[in-house]
Amino acid sequence: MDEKDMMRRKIAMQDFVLWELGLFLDAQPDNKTAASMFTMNKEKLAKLMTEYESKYGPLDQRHITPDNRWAWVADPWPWDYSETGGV
Amino acid sequence: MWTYNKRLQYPVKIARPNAALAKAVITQYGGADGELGASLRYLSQRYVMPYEELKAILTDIGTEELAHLEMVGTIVHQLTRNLSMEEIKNQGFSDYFVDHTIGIYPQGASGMPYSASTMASKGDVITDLMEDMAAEQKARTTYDNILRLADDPDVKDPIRFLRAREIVHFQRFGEALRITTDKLNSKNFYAVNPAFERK
Repeated sequence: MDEKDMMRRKIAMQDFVLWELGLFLDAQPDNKTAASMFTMNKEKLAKLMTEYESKYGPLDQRHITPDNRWAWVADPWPWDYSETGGV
Repeated sequence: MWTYNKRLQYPVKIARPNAALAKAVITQYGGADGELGASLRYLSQRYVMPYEELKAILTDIGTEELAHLEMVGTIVHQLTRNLSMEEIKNQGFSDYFVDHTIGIYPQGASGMPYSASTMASKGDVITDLMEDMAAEQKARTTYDNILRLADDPDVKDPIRFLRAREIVHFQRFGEALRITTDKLNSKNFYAVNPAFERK
């Protein structure tokens, strides 16, 4: 697994934590502990996404820049098999 | 509205194609208890939900099911890549192949195309939440059965993730049901349907 794939996995893990907190907060919106964890993890994810996207291109089409516009269209797409990848 | 992230919710990387297993896994793409039906069920039920938490839970779980649909499609796609005609014939894939080649089509393991008749949107809060809890358990059982059929760790790993999500969703729907009954008359939860009779 190369650095790019490691970073994608980190993003997937961080996003999962945030998503799980989000679902919990849907049912328990008053829970202050979960709410503060949500905020903290949201910042962590944003940082990882910015770092990844500045190196390897956008994960969201709205994050394209004039320099990496093609990277949105380029392979691999998430379902493509790759020896190293998988996220 | 929705936006797309160009990544999977959980990694899928299947080194060894296996057409026979693909025919079982596809049931979670378009079968009776699959991810497509799950997403449509929750995203359709939410419109008449009278409580804010329920609108949020159905929207967000319905959204996560779309990410699961993409994972299941990816598993089937990777299980059917680079198949030779011999493998297609020997692994019992000829009937799928003749209709779809190796395209991904929403169907059950038996070949039945996706049908909305496998889900309900009844417009009654308790009825719909009970349907949702049952749906999560039916999907969990299906993933258990896929784990019984699969011996490839590359397939079992993402399937185990998907199975665990069914249990978490069941928990959230249980909380949604408790939120609902807390607001109703405990002597007769069925006296009114708060998705229809507003007080």
